[in-house]
Amino acid sequence: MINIFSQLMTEANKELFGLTLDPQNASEGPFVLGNGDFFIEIPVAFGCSFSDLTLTGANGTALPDAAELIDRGTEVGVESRLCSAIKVASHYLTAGLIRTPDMIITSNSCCDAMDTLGNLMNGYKPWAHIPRFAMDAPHSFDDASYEYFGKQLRQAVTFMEDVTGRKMDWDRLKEVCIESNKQGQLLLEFQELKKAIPCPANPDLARQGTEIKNWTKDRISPMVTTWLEQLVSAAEQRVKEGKGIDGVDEKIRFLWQDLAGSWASGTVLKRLQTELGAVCIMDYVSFGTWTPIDLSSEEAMFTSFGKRFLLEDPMNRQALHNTELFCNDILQIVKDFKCDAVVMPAHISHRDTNSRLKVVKDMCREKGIPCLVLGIDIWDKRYMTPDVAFDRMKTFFEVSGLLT
Amino acid sequence: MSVFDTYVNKISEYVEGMKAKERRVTVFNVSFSSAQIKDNLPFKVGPDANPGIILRQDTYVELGNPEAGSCAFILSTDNPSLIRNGRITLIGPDIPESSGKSLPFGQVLIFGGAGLDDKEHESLQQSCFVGDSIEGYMIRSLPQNVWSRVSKNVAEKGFDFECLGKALMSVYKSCNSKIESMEIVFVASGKEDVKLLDEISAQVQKISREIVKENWKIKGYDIDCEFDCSSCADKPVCDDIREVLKEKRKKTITNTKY
Repeated sequence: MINIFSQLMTEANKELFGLTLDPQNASEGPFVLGNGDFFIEIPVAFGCSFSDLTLTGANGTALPDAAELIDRGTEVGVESRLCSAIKVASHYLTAGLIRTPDMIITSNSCCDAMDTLGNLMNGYKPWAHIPRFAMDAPHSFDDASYEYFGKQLRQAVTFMEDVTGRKMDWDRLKEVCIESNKQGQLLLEFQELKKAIPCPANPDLARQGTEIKNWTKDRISPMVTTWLEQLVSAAEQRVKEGKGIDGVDEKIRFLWQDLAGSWASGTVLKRLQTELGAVCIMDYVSFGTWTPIDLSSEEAMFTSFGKRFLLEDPMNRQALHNTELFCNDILQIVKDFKCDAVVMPAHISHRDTNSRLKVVKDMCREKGIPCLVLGIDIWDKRYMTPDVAFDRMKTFFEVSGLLT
Repeated sequence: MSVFDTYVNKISEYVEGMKAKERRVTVFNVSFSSAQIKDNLPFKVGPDANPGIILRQDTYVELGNPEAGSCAFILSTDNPSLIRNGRITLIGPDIPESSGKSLPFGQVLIFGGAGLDDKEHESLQQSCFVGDSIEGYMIRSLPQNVWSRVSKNVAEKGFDFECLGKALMSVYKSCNSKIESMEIVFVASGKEDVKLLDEISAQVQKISREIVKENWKIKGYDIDCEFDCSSCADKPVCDDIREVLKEKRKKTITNTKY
């Protein structure tokens, strides 16, 4: 039976799988290439095309020839345990497959792999003549840091204006921010609905919602708002009716404390849900805080952008800051969303997370929360196959008494 | 003496400042005894008293939506004379008169108790789970703030800030036996007033983080790397890398004035 959630998921997938090597936010204007998604609202308002090369690489790992692309990336000469998504991006870059941008804007966050990619972009000889702007992301989350990064984003706009000879339309930027705020509120609304037991809709829709809002060609457009409104209304209806996900007998709720990557959602997480009733309630991307962009002044707006990027971008929040924030988020998600267990996928290239595994395990033991460390490559299923990951998680749920 | 004593006094000064600005300030004095408080409330309080979700259409009032303004923090002291036990101070409008509104919301919980030393502060922050404990009151998941909803059902039964204060006192009292006294300040008068409170909150958060860091150290973990370049044995290696990068950048970066 095709229900509204299946339709929404299909639409989201169409958007996400539609992303190719072309600019992710295509328009008639100039093309800006970056190594992260620090520019959500700005390129939309500026009317320029934008691509986050990390995302382009990540999308490559979902293609049928992903293994070959990853191996070609390794041949570029990057470190062998570098993130596979970045390996693919490195291959795309050095093979000359990426359209030559009009300007390059990079940041040194949020992980060492993205930083490496930024350096590769900046050092790529055929693009030596391209104007570039590099931003410095502080590893802290306070007002001074948000202002510091916000000012750099403001300078980046001036840089874009100087390179293109065009001016930012500030009214348009405000309009875009208002739409973005609406979408943030709807994402938070859906997030709250996931607290219901049973969970009213596939929680993965939250990840997809975040991704189409921030990463697709239609980012921040009213089309995305409509998609999110439909999602929230349908989920509210299910909560009222006390219904869970179609075809799922919910028995276990767990936190997947990492990105879902390119293969886990459609394989191991899907099987766990349908075969065992083990529902992945939250992952990095679906846990959003989305403080509204403050439109009271230009400075406030850019400080908000800085905060969004440093503290609220899903991966930056978990990778850029200290262990206290990381652990507090785990505890809050477990409590608020009534998770029975924490699964640390321990993506091989997430060194920031992997350095905290023992702390997290100790904390979970102290609080009585079952915790499993997997050790997978979220972009390359050859490292640990979906079947092996499924078996390990099944065994974990059995031995921890969650699955009888 | 607790590290937060200064901030307990600052909250008193803040309330006086609000009075001076002619904000509407209402004070409720209640008896701080969990059994009594619970008995007098027209709704359930305790574990799983609010198991469900409060949907948008079932919401009477929303408190602390970040767009409206939101701030929440706790203070603790081992000096009981600083606490006006059982006092609930409300700055701004009350819930019954705010149907359909989204109010700015500031919440300060002040705990007193001889055993409430600095180490206990972290436990106070983590141990009590208010989310499920008050019927018709849903706290949304937003770290460092309180963003909540009051349902139409409990609003009809007379849910107001005095009730919310009593319920919070009951929940906290029952989950931490070291709490001997408690005072609460709610702010719903305006975004600017909540912002002022946020300035105090920023200082309190800094101290809280230091306490958390110390508690982690006791467990054997350093949650912030304490090395700086001058004390690191690998400094010469990093210096060499920096020089190489500097040279590389000189060669590759052209056409930029930023």
